[in-house]
Amino acid sequence: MEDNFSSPTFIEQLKKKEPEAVEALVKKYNTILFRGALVQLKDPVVSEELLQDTWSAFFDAIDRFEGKSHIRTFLFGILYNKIREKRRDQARFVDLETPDPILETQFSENGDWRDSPISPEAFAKAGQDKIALEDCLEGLGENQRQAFYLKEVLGESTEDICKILDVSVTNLGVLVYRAKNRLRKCLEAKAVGPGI
Amino acid sequence: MRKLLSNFIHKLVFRCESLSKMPYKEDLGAVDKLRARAHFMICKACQRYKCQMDMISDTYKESCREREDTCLDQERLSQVENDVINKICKK
Repeated sequence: MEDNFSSPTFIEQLKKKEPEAVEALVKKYNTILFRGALVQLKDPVVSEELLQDTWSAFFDAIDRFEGKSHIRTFLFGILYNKIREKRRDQARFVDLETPDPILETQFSENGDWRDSPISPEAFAKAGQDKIALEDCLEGLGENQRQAFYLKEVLGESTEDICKILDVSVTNLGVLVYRAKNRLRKCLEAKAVGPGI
Repeated sequence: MRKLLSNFIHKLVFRCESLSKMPYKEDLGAVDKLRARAHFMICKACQRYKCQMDMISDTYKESCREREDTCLDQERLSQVENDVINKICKK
C-alpha cells in the first residue's frame, strides 16, 4: 500500500473510494484527529461524534482536494472548522485588529519590560500546575488555543498552521503571541496570588 | 550619547518587546537567530520569560498526554475506524 498519503496516485485512489486507500488513511489519522478534538472539546463522546463528521466531510470534499497541501493539513482544517461550528455559540474568536490592553502595557515605550517576568522558581508554583494551566487556557480565544495546540503539542509548521486555521503568517504571530502572554500573565497572577 | 548607544545595541540584539513577538525559532533567519541569542545572553528578564514559556509548554504537553491516557479508548476508536471505512466504501 502507498504510504505517501499526499501522492497523486494515493489521492486518486481515495477519490475512487478504494477500500485499501480509505482504510490506510483512516487508520493512520483517526487517533491523531481524535486527540486534536479531545484537547479542544474535553469530551470524548463529543470528540468521537466530531471525528465521524470530519471523516464524512473529508470524503465529501476529496474530489475538490488538489493536493496543494499535505492531506494531514487538509484533515485538520476540516476538523477545526467542525470544532468551530460546534462551539459557535460560545466561541470567543479573537479580533486581531483590537489591541489587547493587558498585553499592550507589558512594555515601555522603549520596548523594555515594564515589570520583569517573575523568577522561574516563583513561577513554577503555577506554571507546573496542570489545573491552573487548564483554568488559564479557558481564558483564551478558540483560535488562540488551537494555534497553541498545533504548535506546542503537534509541532506543526507555521505554514501548515496558517492553512489549517486559515490565517496569514502575521495573524498567526499575533495569535500565538497573545495566547502565550495571556497564559503567562494568568499563571503569574496565580503564582503570586493567595493560592491556586 | 547614552541613548544613541542604547539604540545601537538594540539594533544589534533586538528589544525585549520585539523579541517576545518573534515567531518560533525555526522561522527566524540565521542573522535574527544570532541577534536573539545575543539578547538572551544579556537580558535577565527575557531569560525569565523564556523559562516561563518553556515551563508552560512542558506542562501543557503533559496535561494533553494525561487527558489522552484517561479518555483514549482504543477499542472505541477502532470501532469508529471500521464504521467510517464501511460507510465510505459502501457509498
